[in-house]
Amino acid sequence: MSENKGLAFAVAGFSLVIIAGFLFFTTNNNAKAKTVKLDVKTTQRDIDRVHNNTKAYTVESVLAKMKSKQTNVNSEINELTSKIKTNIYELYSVKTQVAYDDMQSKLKKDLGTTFADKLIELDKPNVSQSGIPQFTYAKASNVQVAYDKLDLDDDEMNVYVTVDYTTPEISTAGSGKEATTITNNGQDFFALTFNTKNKSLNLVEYKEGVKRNV
Amino acid sequence: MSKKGVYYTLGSIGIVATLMFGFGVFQNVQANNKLQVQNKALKKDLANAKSEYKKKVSDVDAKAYQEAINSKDETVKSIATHNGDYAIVNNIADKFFKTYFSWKDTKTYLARSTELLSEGVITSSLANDKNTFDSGKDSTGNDYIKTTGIKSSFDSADAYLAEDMGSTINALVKVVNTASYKSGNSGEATHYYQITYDRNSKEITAVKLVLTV
Repeated sequence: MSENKGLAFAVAGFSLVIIAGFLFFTTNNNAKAKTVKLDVKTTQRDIDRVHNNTKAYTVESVLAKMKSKQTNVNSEINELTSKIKTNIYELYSVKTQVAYDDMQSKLKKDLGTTFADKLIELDKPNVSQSGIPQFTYAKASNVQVAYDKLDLDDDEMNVYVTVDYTTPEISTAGSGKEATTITNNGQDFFALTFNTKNKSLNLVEYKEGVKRNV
Repeated sequence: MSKKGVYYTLGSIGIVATLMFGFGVFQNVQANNKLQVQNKALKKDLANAKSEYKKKVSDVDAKAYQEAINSKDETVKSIATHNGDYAIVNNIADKFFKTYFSWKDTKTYLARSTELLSEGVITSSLANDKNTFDSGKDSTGNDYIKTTGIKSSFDSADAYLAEDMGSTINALVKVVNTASYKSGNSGEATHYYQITYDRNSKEITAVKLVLTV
């Protein structure tokens, strides 16, 4: 009988050591502990980085950054605004196919390909049976160009253009009714980015505004 | 050794090893807990360091822009002027549109102009401008705020500098709001406004809707 007791004792001791060993190895440097350790390390590094950035951020460093931009925002903006306005006023009032064709290369040169292509597409004339081209726009009545702030860490600047325009007279001849003509007022909206370093302008988004009868 | 002796020896070794492992487990758990506590403290330190950085940036920027605006270097001066104006119009646009696009009934809708006027955000002539602050009634005299139950909450306003005309600045403002109706419908909308800001009186003198998309 006592031999059985001894066996039971040995089995118990053996089982306990298996459980304890299992617990030891699962708690020792387990996945969770490893993640926390890694987290501690990165957090420590982040703190050091933020401290260094704080130390380095001084009035002198900000002024130096401004200087290094070598961009006179004022003259850049004036130049770009005038280019955009002149070209849009001119294109929106184009009356002949020749003038429309002639403008294309100038638009691309002044406003960059993506913006120029969109403008050219928007004002693309329909040629009626009479052979007279019918353009989308008759005239731009107001062009506004608006600018984002200049980010000192980035050379891209957002630019927004809104155009108020009128359409040519559209005849609304109905059967049996007397023909009348109407013009519409509308708005175009362009979102662009301007790279102040290489002076390139790129179209990001075009939106058509609400058209109204006059 | 008798079989019994072997069993007892094995059993005893097991117990001793169990005790040792047990101590090990205790140490592991303690070490892990300590790591967690340390990690938590570090996260707090990081948050502190970040807010310290933010504060320094705004302090330094204020000083740097003040210096830059008087700089003899045209580049530096132009950037400071542009970004300074940008901050001004964004600040006023935020104040204006936060109130302009927040109402929950006819009463709060009609109170917007007086509120903005008393806060010094707009001129009295703008407060009386019927295009900017309508009566909340349609052409038949019907109170559409009440009828439709339309409410509005302000989401964001971003202003962009359009024209600097010396004493006034024109800006284009992108405004996002959420409107909800009695019917349960609701939706977000984006509007573009042109605002005119008077540098001297520090008020908005004109507001015009340019585009709703």
